[in-house]
Amino acid sequence: MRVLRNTVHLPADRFTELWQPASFEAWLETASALKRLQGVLMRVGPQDGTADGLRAFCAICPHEICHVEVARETSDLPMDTGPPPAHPVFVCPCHFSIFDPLEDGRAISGPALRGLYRFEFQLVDGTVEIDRVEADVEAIFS
Amino acid sequence: MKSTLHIALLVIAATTLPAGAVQKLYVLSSAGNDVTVVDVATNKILGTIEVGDRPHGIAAPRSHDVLYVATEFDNGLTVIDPVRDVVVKKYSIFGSRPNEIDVTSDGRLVYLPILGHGVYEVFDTQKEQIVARIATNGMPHNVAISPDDRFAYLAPLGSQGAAPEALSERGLPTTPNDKIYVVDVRTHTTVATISTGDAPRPIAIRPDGGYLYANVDGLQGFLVLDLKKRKQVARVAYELTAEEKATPSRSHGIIATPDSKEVWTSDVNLGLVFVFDVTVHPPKQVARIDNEASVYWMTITPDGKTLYIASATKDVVNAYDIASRTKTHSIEIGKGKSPKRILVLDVPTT
Repeated sequence: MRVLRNTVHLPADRFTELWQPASFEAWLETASALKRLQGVLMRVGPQDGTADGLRAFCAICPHEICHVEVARETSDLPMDTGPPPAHPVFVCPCHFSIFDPLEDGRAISGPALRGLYRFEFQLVDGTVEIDRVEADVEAIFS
Repeated sequence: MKSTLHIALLVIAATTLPAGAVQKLYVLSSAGNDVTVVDVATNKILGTIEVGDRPHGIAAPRSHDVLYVATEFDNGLTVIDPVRDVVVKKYSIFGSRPNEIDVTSDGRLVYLPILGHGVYEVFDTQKEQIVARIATNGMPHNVAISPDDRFAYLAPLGSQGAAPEALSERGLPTTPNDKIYVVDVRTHTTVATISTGDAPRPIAIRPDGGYLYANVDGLQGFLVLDLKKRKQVARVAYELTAEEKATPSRSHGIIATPDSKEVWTSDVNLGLVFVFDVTVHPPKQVARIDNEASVYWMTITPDGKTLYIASATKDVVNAYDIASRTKTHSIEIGKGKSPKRILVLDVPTT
């Protein structure tokens, strides 16, 4: 994991409902420049107030750096094989890669060759503190 | 006054088009199965032509009397009669996932990048068969043939940051690529490579034939390759603000004007187009244009007057007057069609 330039603080009580995404900005020092990472935090699991059901993803498609969007209605999504999940997924508008938040952001359709980059966070006194990101995210700037 | 201007414009149009020709813009639906045909004179949609699943490549010979479209998901090459805008033939003999194509000026040979197989296939349109397969590193994606038809420049993608295992799982080539291959069109053999440092993306040959411009991964800008020396002679970065530099983005879409004086090149996520004077070395940025939508591909009318920009995420193609660098029209292609590759033809009317 790579430490972010800033720690993002989000109030945990914003994430009591399932599939309610909130966007945030994180900053990463790379070899060439300071880069802005758009992130999305949402609850995908138990609504018990713990961090277990929370996930934080980088909203940049690892395929070609477009910004992924949350698709709530999935029935018409262009899957390569099989039916789309019934729950919300991330979709890239550029090449239609689809990512499943329930599977840690895994790429389940389209040309993306890996899943969404993930942020690491902890729950501290009712606040979600996001302070690290997968080191591989630097690949999109190289 | 208005009618006088109208008549004047008609006279200009009549004098700049080849006799008996009409200009049409062809727009590939990267998320669908058709080509949208637009009348350049009015920027109105004339109709659509079904070609096959996920059209990805488009090219025409110098005569502009035939149009080739490669379809990625059904491994096809569709032949269109642009006079009547109908499909006259479809070949389904190619390897997995043909991408952006090019054709020799006489229409004899079509070069098809076969992304899934790591080769470029050369299709002879008279023999109606594949006459050569040229292996490359990376995933074949783009190609451009020199104006004199002597050389084809092959630009395969790199691994896009994916581990070899991830590529292998999907049956994709696992080799990285950081160069452009120079192929002798007479023999279909690779005679040289030109290093690009990182994986090449869209490429454009200057119409006078001396230089090739290449977007590459990891650069918001472009490379200048001297085709005689077969080497990179400049690495040109866009002039961006600190805020823009912090935004993850890339360059995808580059074209030289027919008079060989300017290069127009894009930044996808910032939705910007940059104009460079390429009569000087290194090229000098002379304008930046906010397209107000992502930029994915560009084409220019053969008369050099109008540039079209495909914005896949907004399903529009925008038209720009090249002389004044101003947007003149925005053409709605249809929700979900995700327009990408585009081409303008001077279509013979007889």
